[in-house]
This record gives sequence, structure tokens and C-alpha cells, in this order.
Amino acid sequence: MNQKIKQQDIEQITRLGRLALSPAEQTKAASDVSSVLDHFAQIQSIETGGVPTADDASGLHNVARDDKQCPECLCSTEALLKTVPQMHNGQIKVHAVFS
Amino acid sequence: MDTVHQAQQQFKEGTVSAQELVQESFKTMDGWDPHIHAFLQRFEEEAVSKAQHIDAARQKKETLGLLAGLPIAVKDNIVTKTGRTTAGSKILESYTAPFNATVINRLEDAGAIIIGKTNLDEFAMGSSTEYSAFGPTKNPWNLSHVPGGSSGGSAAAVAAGIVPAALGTDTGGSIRQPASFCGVVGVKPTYGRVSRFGVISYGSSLDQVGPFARTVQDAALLLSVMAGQDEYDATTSNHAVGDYVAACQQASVKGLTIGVPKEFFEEGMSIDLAAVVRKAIAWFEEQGAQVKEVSLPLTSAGVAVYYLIAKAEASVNLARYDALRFGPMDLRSDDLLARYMEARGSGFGPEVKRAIIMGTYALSAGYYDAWYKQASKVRTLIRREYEEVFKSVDIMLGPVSPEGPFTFGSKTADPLQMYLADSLTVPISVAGLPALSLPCGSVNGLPVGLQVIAPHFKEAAMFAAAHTYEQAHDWWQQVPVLPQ
Repeated sequence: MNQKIKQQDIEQITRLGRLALSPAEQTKAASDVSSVLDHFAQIQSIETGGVPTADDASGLHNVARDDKQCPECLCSTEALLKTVPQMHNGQIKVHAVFS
Repeated sequence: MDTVHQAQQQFKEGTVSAQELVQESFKTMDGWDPHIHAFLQRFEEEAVSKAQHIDAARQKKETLGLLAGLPIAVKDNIVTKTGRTTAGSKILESYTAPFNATVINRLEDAGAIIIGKTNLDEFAMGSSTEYSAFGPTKNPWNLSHVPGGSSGGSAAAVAAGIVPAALGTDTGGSIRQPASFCGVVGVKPTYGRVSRFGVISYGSSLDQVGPFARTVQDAALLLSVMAGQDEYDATTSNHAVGDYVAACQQASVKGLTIGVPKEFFEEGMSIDLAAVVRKAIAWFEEQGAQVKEVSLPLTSAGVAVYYLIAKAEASVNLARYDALRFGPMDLRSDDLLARYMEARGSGFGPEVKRAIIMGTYALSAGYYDAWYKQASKVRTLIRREYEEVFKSVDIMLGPVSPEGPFTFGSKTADPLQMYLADSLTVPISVAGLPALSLPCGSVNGLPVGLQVIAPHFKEAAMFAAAHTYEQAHDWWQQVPVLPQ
């Protein structure tokens, strides 16, 4: 089976995936992903009628923990601010969402 | 560097202090790391200070943890309050975590001393460390060959004797394959055995943390400290943690029923490597185990199922790298969408971009049923196939990888070839089973690993069989020579 991914597919996917690619990267991605999917297409001939999806990797259900503070997870404002790329006057600096 | 067990003996006899051992680690790192680049960061000041505290506590005869004073290395996708956590990516180059992963807290509570963070393929996606944004790690046995990946830095650090043990993560083979390539023991526990809290997510239904060590018993000790339910990871099991060290000590091969999957020796398997692995399996038979051939027909579908699921999960997990909370801020674009796209386009490397493209494609409307959903159904079939075989065998044995450590650049041009290098580890991950790699010989001076696979939560059986083999051979005592 030929799983050729078209240029316009790649454009749509990279838009969905929030990924800017150069034209050369787009061409390479289309060819790489097409050849990988050519190989992966073998799973489409496997009979899976009536087989459930493997949605729970752990087999556990409705796991909850007590709603209480985690002292070892708590940290200072300074420690939290250290994790972000930019800050301003003790706040996280981000680009404006509304113009 | 000695093994964990030997170091503990020396502590007990008073012939070495924690500070001396930690300093020896850094000295060995100074010799080796310029050649192999196993480490991204070193924590010398913090490590020496912790060692001094442990030595003082030992002198005062205070009760110490199981791993008191032992230097360990940690893969850089496991968050630590000390230093940065980069996941081998430019996008997290300056990220400082405000908390420790659960595995880090458990090891430090037991007295282990983290001496540094090790190199990996970006976001743990790769089989060679060639996809690290900070340059590859080299195999200590031969510098022109890869150490395997993605936990190549941790495997190389243990092989070179810088540390007696290290942590890695295994999504589709990222502990077992580098362990095999570097000639050390590497363990992927049952999915749900070890907490993923604080582990930077790749494929959330597959990721597990596990130990590297020189010996099976050392790895068993580390796992026994890390394993067990964690309320901060809802996928951890409340299944009792076994006494893995005791399992090693009581081990016997006699009466064991061992399955050897015939598909593990088919298509693409190196003949030389197969011969080494077959010889190791024959040893078990000579010692009184019943060895029988078993069949896992869906093995050939493993790579497709694994990569479709892992990349789909990765594409979702990577959505958080948005250049607001993580990532570069010096962007040229003005509107918000263009800034997201620019930050991610410039911050991620080639394999991570491929993951986002492939994963988004497999999950998108019109393609979901044929790709992601079908892969998930076949995953159920693979799981059932293993469960069926485990009704008649105690453990399974086989190769870890279809070939030995490859040379740099030989697979990076063709992503499919890189994926196929994982063909014998990914089916086990898809089934959520525990497995380890154990040194069992070499081909052309490069190590070969034997894969020991056990049923869910039967890590004790896996350790017992591996320990018995290890003790009857001297592979674990062989170490690479420091290049001049």
C-alpha cells in the first residue's frame, strides 16, 4: 500500500501541531513519514473485528487520592518563577493573547 | 568503580567513606567523559556535601538508608530540584524544575547521592543518543559506535565505571537496548510498577523508569527502593513490591520452564548475535531448565503498533511546550499562533518534529480509525499473545536487539531503519511486561545482551533467572579500557 502524504496534508498537520517547518523540512517530512507509514500499513490487514482498544495500560479504574496539600511539592514563588523563560516584576511574562 | 554491593561491603568494613567514593566518581568522570560525553551536568559541590553528611551520620552510628553514600547518575528527563532538567532538548535548555520526581525522592531518602544528569535522545525519542540537542554519547567499548538510546548516557556512565548505578527511562527499549550495547544490566519494570511522577512524558501508556547497574542484584536493589504505589501517579499499582534481592539469593534454574520466541530470531537478526544469545539460552538448559520454542506471531507488527501509539501520545504530551511557560522567548513573530509555531519549529529537533507530525496525523479526523484505533486494537492482541504464552512458561529469553551497536550516522538518514532497531524490545513495552538486558557475550569486541522477559509484576522471577546466569559467567566483570 502506498501511504503517500501530500504536501497539503503536511501543511494541515503542522498547523494542527503548531509547528513551523521550512519548505525543505516539509518535503523531507512528507517523504520520511510516507515511507514509515508504508511499513506501518501492515497492521491494517490484521483482523481486529470485536477486539477492544487497549485504552487502559494499567488495568486500574477510578484512581483518586485525598484532596490534601503535598508538602514536598510546595515551593516558593521564586522557585516557580525560575522555571519560566521570562519574568517581569515577579510575574511570568508572556506574549499578549488579545491584541 | 565497584558494584553497589562491593561499595556497601567497604562502607561496612570502614575501608572507604562516602566522600571518597563520590570523589572517585568525579575523578573517573574527568577521565572518561571527554571521550564519551555521558553527562550533561555534574553536581560536584552538592554531592560532596551530601556524602560528608552521610559519613558523619555513619560515624555517629545513626541508622542509614539502603543506598547510603552511593553515587548514582540520572537521565536528564527525570526532574531534579538540583540543576536543570533539559530532556536533551533546546526547548528545555534552561528549565529548572521546582520539585523532585518521586523516584528521586525515594532514592535520596535511601541515601543515594546524585552526581549528575546524563545525556539522552531529545525527549527520549531515539535509539542511539544521536538525537540529543547537546551532541551524542559514545560507546565506551568503541568510540565510533553508538551507546544505544535513548538512555545512552546512563548506560555509558555505568559501563565506564563512573557510577555503580544509574536511572534511565524505557518507553520502547530505551533502557534495555543501551544496556545491551554497553554491556551492563538494564531493567524495564512492569508498566505501573514505578512512579512516573516527575518524568517528562513521551508515551504515557508506555513510559517506565528503571535502573542500570553492573550486576543483576544491584539493579534489583535499586528497583526495590524505587518501586511501589505513588499517590501522585494514578497508574502505579498497589501490587506488593517483591524482595528482589532475596529472589536473587534464592535463585535456581532447575525446574524453570523457559520460552524462546522463534520470531525473535527471524527477519533481520544478525547471525553472530543470534549465536551468542543461543549459547546463553543453552546454558539454562544444561543447568536443568526446560527450554521450549514458543511463537509470538504479532512480533513483526510490534514496531508499527508501538510507534503509532507512542508518537500519538507524544504529539499530545509535547503540546505543553508553548514558549510561554517553557522554551525560547526571543521570537520574531508577532501574533500568538505564529509565535507558538516559530518556538516549536526552532526549539525541537528532527525526531521530535517527526513524532508531532506522525502522531498528529494518526490522531486526526479521517485517519484516526485506520491508524491510532487499529494500532490500539492490535495492542490488545499482542498483550493477549504474551498472556497466552506465559500460561505455559515462567520466563522468556531472547535477544534485545537484532544487531549490535551500530556506527554513528548509519541510521539517522532513514527513520524507519532507526525504528526497526527496536523491533525486539517494543512488543514487550506494548504488552506492559517487565524485561531486562543482561550481558551474555560479545561480537567484534562489542557487548551483546540477553533479554529476560517475565509476566506482569513477576520481576522477582526475572531477577532470579538473570542472577543465576550472571554468577556462572564473568561478563559482568569485563570493563572497557579508558582511551589514551
